[in-house]
Amino acid sequence: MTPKSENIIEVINLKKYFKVSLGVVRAVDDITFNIKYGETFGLVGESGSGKSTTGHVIVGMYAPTSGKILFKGQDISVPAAKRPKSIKKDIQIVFQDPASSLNPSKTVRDIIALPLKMYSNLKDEREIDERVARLLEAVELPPEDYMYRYPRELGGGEKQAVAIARALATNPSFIVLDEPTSALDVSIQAKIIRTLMRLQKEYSLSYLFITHDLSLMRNVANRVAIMYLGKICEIATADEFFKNPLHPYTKMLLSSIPVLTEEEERLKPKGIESRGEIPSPMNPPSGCRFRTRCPFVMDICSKKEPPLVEVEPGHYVACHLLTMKAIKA
Amino acid sequence: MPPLLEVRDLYVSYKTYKGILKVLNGVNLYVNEGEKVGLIGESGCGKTTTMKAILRILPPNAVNVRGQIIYKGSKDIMKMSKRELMKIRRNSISMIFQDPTAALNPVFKVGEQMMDIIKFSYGRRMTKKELKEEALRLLREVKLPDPERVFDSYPFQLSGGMRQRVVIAMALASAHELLIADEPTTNLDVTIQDQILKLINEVVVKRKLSVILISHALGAVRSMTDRTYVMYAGDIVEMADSRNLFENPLHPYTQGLLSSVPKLTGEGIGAGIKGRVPDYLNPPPGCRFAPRCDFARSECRKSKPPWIEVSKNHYVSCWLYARK
Repeated sequence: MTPKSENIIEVINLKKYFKVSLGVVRAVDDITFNIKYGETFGLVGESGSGKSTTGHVIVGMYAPTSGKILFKGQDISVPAAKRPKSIKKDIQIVFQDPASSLNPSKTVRDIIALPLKMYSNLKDEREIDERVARLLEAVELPPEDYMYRYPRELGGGEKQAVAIARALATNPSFIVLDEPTSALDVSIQAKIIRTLMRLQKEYSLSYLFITHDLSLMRNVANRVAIMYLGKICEIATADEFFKNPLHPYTKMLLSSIPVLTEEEERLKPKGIESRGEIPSPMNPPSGCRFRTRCPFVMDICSKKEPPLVEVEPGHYVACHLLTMKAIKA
Repeated sequence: MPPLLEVRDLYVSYKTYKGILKVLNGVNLYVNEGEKVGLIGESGCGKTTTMKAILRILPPNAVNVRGQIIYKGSKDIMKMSKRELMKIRRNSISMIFQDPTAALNPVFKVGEQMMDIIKFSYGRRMTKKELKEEALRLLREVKLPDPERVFDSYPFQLSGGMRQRVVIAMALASAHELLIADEPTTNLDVTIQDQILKLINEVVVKRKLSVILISHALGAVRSMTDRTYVMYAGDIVEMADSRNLFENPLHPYTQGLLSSVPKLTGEGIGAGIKGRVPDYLNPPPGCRFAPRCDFARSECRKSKPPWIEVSKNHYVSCWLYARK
């Protein structure tokens, strides 16, 4: 099988810099990964890691500074305005805060009808009503109750369900989920996640799932990438990731998670404790960006940036500790 | 020995343009001396309202405030004079708020704000030099690197984690008995959250303070506290020793809440809880959780369930556990 037929998204050496008054923010700094058809690819990182920027560049909210994004083998490294309509409708996004991503002066029906009108050329209002109703059913909102409500009349979870229905309206094959549940209470989060997982099967969707919540990632993603200050430091399957975390940052993240059971407590890496804070992305540390917080820092770490190497099949790590081990072996 | 703090039958409503929101529905809780108590429940269930009532800092639209807040077995905070209340705020109870950005004044340097608080709390004449020394001592106690620089910084020059450390330092200036930490890590990244929670735990143990910890990070409540209360829609629905509560939840709400939390073991996520928090304008007359409960029976909709001790020191407010 050629890589083209296996991957729906390929991100190659992607960079996104932002000019601000005080300098240049290197939000995404040379990252490479791919997303397979039908999988949920998790992108995890703390604030300022560049995970959302990566998602936003993929949906075309802005053009990359350099690097390439391939979608189904086709180059889409341009902002959405320059992409063909067929591709725009195939890539959708659900944002973190449903309170600000839904137009407060439109009804649920109008919010979902807009993409239908734009991309499906539907004109007949009765047909649009019918389609909106089916989309609302897909996200478990009874249409007779919700069709003519305004966003302010909905709870947080219901609003996010509407945002998901809107993303589905163009019949996409790939959806970026940008922290879709971080504004919601856990009992509501559980429902939304279940809906998303069901829809993925029903509509054969591929997801880029962006979150800061590793426990959530454990339960939804097939593969996970960890980002820190614009770089990817580790990629692995979700199972591998939690059984055998290799990058010190990943270990620090895992050990910081507050857990509910003894069983989970045992899964947390021992002997590493969270320390320090994320440096500014305007002036990242030289060499390995994590070195200022890393308990295992060596001389080489400030001099040379560690490359992302495959240490086990499908398990990539960017850390000098492991590169050296791999060379010795 | 009487508990350090005891809240008895606390009712609070809010007056809004829509009408009267009946939020707190007879809250009872206590904190023993030196005890670490957790309070969990989803947004809008009245956790913060309860804490604000304890310090008597409810917003002006709070109405029908009833109940007793007994401090050290004798004084009712609800009936205290301004002077007595000031003494409590100055010397006894202090609160760390959710959002450190909102808790700090953006136009004054950290040092000035800290010296103000120290002047207020210590209640004695201090020279500027003494005030500064005390402020720096507190900043060091919360492990801020380079306290001199922090002292001379404006809040916006600090990261979220550092700001929260400053807020904790300020709270320590007046918390000599009880520290209320209301979602102290909500806006922080998980590695910073870990650091802040460990810090709170450390200062609390060192200073022998009692604590009420409110947090969405349920795992943190489990590991940090001795005893935990679960709150739903203005009612305390369950209370037990923390380990016991998280291992063996009894109330259907607690069960639904805990099963919704994604686990590191990756066994999938629970079904969540159907529906949403009730409308406080017309809250359900019986058990407030009944409309969302899979086990609700007719009595649940009629009257408020009793507070039942199911096993030693494990209480639940639910008709399922009432003996006939």
